[in-house]
Amino acid sequence: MQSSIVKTQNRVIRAEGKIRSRGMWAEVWRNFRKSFGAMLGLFIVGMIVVAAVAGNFIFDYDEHVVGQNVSESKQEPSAKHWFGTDEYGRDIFARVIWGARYSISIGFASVLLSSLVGVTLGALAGYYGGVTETIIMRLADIFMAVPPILLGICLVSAFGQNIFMLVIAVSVSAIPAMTRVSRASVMTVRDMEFVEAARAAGANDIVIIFRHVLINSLAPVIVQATLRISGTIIAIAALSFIGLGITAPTPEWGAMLSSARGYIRGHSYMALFPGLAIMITVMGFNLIGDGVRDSLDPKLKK
Amino acid sequence: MIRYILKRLLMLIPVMIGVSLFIFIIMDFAPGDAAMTALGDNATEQQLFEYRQERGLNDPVFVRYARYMLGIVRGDLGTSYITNRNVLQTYLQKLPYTLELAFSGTLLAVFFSIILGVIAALRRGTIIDSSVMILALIGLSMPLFWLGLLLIICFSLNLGLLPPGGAEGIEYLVLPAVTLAVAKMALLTRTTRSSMLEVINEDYIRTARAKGVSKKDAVRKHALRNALIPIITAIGIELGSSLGGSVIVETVFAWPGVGRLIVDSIGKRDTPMVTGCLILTTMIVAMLLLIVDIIYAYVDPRIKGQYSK
Repeated sequence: MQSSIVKTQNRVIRAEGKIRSRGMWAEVWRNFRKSFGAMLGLFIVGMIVVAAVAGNFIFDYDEHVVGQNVSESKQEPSAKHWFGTDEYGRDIFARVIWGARYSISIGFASVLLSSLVGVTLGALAGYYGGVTETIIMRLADIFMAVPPILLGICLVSAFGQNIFMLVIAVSVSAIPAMTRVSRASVMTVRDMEFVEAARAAGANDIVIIFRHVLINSLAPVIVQATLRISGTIIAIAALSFIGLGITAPTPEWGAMLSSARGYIRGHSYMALFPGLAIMITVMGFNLIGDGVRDSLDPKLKK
Repeated sequence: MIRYILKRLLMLIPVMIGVSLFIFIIMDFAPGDAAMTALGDNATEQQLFEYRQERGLNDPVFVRYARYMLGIVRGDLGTSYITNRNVLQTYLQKLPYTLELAFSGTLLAVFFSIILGVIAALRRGTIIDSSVMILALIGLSMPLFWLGLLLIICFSLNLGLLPPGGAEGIEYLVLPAVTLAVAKMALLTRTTRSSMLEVINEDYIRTARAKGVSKKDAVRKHALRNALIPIITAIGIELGSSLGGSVIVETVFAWPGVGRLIVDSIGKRDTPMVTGCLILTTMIVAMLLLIVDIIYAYVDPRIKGQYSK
């Protein structure tokens, strides 16, 4: 009898402890889940990812996506070709579905790259200050001064047109902004007592920066990064549209619009679906970005 | 105030040096060169060599850069490797088109987005607010070049109302300006709305209303004025971005502006043209941001105090 009460109490205490220790991420997820827009965004992006993966099994790349079939060229949307066919008789639906992987993976890769570089530079600038800060931030000023799309065009035309260069070209223009955000955030954390405690305990700078300071200053960076995915996807499509990113016959959405441009007289449906795909994807990421911002940083909530 | 402006102008110099050096080095990495573009595939090695020698293209990149910078100090932005025309003159010839497009697009966007943003903020949580915000989200998610194509399909091809491209009169400006405006409107409407929401519940608005100021005046003179700073910032950034980044719209509508000049010159490996145009564009954008900062001082006297420190 006695022992069972203790047990129960223990369980209560344990349960309470569990509630209190709900981590920051669980809290963020709870806020995120409450927002209709954010969940809609997650749903949209989820569906696009599912479609991209399924497309892998449904459509054969060589046969359906890039294989030409001139006898069926320029057909209006129908039951057989949902989105119609392009000038080489390729099914636009298959190409749009297949194109999702380029936009999403390049979008993610660029944002990841620019975040990694930007956060490291920003942390160094914010933590050390002085000459380090001056050098890093003045370099950031230089890269920020050049309009992003022009910077991307310069880089792609100089170092060649391939997916790897495209990722770098799009990331470089995003690095200065990430550096600024990260630096500002690190500066608010670097003088806090737990950083001093770590230093007193004998931790070296690298450990302090990466294990103590950075972890505690990531929120604004994550917000910035999520909001940037959509812009990056548009930038990639824009570069491909002016012929400098991914080129035909690869089914990238911007490249598809670029070739559809020649057929808008009489075959305007060709220009409709790739653009719609970009818009829906970007909208999904925008919704997620807004949701992450609102739930990670309630102060910013408007 | 004047000291502040001078300081900002001085800070531009290292940025300009950095930008030009960066562009010079990048363009040096690019495969092919101006001689090959200008003379075509049939040129002999001898011809190529002479063409390069004439323009000093055989010198190492840093020598060329030093020569270029010496020219800039004397106010000479160099001549094109391809057309032999003066870079500054070519730029100034194209600039009015870009300015015309950027200003008309931004003006359209500012006009509509302030109205929409204020209405959405005042009717917060209603169906009007949600529709404005959904429209803004759609505008924000639409790639400019696609919107441009859709407008061409609709108004030029199907309705035959407006020309699809070129720049021969005011009717040619409508579609590019609207395209540019839609993207800007999305962002500006969001900024206006959230900035208005921040001030609308402030005590001084209630005080003004209690003193008998009409609702219209309270919104216009008390709320909007205090909400202006973030809006002006956004307008400045948008105007700057459309000066430098109107490449896409200029490409879709065959608009003969600076953006297309730069893209064409990059394709032709015309380093002096690319560098010169980017320096000038960067300078104009920087000036614009400086003007925005000066405007702050007039909108908000508190900021003026900070500048004179």
